Amino acid sequence: MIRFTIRTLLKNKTLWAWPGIFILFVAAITVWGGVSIDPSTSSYAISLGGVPLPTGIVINQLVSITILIAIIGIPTHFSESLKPERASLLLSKPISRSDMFLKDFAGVFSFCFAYTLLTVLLLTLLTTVHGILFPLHHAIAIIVFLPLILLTYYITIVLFLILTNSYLGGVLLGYFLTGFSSVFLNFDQFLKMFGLTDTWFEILLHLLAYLIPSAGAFQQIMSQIFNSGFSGVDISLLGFAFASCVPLALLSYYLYQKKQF
Amino acid sequence: MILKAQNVSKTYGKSGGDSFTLQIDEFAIEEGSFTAILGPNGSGKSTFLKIILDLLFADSGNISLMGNPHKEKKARAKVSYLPENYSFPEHFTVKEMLHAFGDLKESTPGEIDHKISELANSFNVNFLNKKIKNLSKGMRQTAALMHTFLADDKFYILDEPFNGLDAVQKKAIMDYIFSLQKKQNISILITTHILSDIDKTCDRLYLIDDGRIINSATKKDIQEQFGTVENYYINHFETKDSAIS
Repeated sequence: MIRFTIRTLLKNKTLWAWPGIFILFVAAITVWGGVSIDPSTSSYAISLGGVPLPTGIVINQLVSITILIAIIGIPTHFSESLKPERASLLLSKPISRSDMFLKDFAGVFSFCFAYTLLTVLLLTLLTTVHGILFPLHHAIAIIVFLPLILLTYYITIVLFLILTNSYLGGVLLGYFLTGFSSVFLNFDQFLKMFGLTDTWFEILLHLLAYLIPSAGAFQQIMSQIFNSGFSGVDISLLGFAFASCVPLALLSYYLYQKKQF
Repeated sequence: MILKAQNVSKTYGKSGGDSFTLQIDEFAIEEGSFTAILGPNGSGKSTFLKIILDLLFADSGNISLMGNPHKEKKARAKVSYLPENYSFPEHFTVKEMLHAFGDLKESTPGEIDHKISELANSFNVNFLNKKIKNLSKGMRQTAALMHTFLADDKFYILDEPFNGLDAVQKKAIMDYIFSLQKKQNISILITTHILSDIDKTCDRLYLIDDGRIINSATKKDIQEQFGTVENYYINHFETKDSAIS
């Protein structure tokens, strides 16, 4: 089943848009821009057409585009497999629903990992062409955490795909809800901003923080590594990030077991 | 016994409006037999097949498939199913699709390649490298049948397998099924609207209407009493219609 998922994802043209865009970006930097050592961050600085692009922003934008393309492209296969016409073909094979569900996640994670690896390779290529070593901790942070960020979005999207039976509904609701999870990381500020002091509301936000897969937490950990290396990682935040993925994943698993085709 | 179903019941639309109840009291398929379920549209044929394969859940009843409870995955280890409506990944070529689905049956790439060549010869297929999205209806159906016969299974459940096939293609596939039956003693459960397709082939027929089996007969019974399957079918459903009117 893992191979089936990966084969289907590899055939998805939407997902090939990302390497395409990135190769164009690398080509543009090579022709009209440059990469140089940034003395202030002991990292590197990218410029395009004479305009310096702050590294942090460039990396964040690249990660955001990867996330956007991946969450549009990756759920299509699961959305298809929820249609009775496809489910009849898959679930009539000697595969249990548990295998199907868990191996799909394993397949998606493997694909996201390979996808991220490609992104890092292209980034490394971009800097190496200009004689600069791509910082190792940046590379590791992206390789480890970008697939996890994609997986948090995927968990929520899968739930909404099962609930709505609609690709568009699943992706949009999953994207916004997971994106919204960042709010819970700083909900003290959020409450202050709106002047909300109600204790029950605070409890509700606490609860929601653990119910919605926290892409924001993984993103924050990735930024911590970018800024201060691995010693800067907040372990409790890491634990929270993983814990927040469990409830919706279990709910999706339960609903999938009960789904009829 | 390949398949045994007892007191299987499923009701749709319980909360008012149109409701439909499937109630199969007794249904069995013996090893090596060719069984057909016939009935009008919406009579519950496909629903029953989906319940057998655990795609739909029965409200009650017992089903044993290949000697195992039908919900267990090992029950489906030697079972192959062709649904009436199916959707293969459109961007795959026929060959890629067959490899992807063959892999789910844990066949090795070598075994799959060997079987693809055998099926392509038997079904006169020359479009293995065409993408699914570019296939005609008949080609799609042939590809779907290739997918069904890809692994060496013991029990084949075919829901309207000859939809969209021309006479030559249909004959090639029937010949292949017969040769499999002779060589490997496979069992077949088929639903079809084209009664002439199964006239000489079926060992047993079940007539289903409004979710219930209303009659069953062996090939011998049908030949002796009605001559053809078509006469047998028409006799039962015309009698029912005239009784209603």
